[in-house]
Amino acid sequence: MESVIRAAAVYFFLLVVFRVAGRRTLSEMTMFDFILLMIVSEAVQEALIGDDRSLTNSGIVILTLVGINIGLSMLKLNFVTAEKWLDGRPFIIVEHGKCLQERMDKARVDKDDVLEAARKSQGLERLDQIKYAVLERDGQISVIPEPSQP
Amino acid sequence: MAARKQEIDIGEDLTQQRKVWVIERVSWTLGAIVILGALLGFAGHGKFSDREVTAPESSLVVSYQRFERYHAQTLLSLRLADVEEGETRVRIGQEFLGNIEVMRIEPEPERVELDTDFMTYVFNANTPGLILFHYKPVNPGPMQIEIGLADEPLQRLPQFVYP
Repeated sequence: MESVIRAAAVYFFLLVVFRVAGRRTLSEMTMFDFILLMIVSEAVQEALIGDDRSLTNSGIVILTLVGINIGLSMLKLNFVTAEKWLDGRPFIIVEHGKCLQERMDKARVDKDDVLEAARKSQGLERLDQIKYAVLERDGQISVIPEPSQP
Repeated sequence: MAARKQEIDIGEDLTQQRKVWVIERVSWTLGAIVILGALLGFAGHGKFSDREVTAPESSLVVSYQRFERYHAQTLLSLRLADVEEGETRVRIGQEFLGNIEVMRIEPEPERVELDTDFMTYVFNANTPGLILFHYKPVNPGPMQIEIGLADEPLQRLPQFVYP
């Protein structure tokens, strides 16, 4: 029983921590994100397994984590509100070349992040070439270019 | 806004997003308070956790942590300020012993005597010195360290074990 409770507690703790940390926290694997992920996984390992290094315990922990994941995905599928709170909704951060600064500040995104996404995904060079930039649920920025002038 | 909705359908819900931002910032504040509390010792090993207790008219000084963590090894340190020739008898309550796993005792006791409510650890100590109990709490929640020298009432020292 303890293994199941431990695994569930760790899962929900991490879910809450990374949810409130904001969607940009692990959205792109920068060097600092990579270091953070490595340290967190190392810290979590002990809490998940404890002193019991048996195959049975590992199996129960894995089954619990996968089970919760399936349960949450079903919850999100059937309840829109649950999906909104667990995953959030995408929102626009640049509209017709203009930064919606309040939204960007709150989401910890700056103009350089948007321009980088625009260069990488659309080969755009300037902000005024962007029709919409959207901060997606996974923290990535998607860019829709302005239609090219004839 | 209406024109935007027609052009791009992403299911934006800014009212909910604003609530999320507020929750995020409140959570960051709470997180900062937890970190500060941990630095001060409220999660164990710090200014507010380190305790040294001497019972009135006792030669036993007990050092322990007010806050501990489940299954984390810790130390109960007993300093004997005034020792008579011969053996020193330290009593520890059975209820406390039921909540911990004793890992090691330094120096090792000569023998251990079992009683109904406590165990008596008998040490061959002729000089003032330290006795160290290394142990792990095996139950989370509040508990009391019950400890004392023979023929003295047991001291009850509160300890909280985080899960």
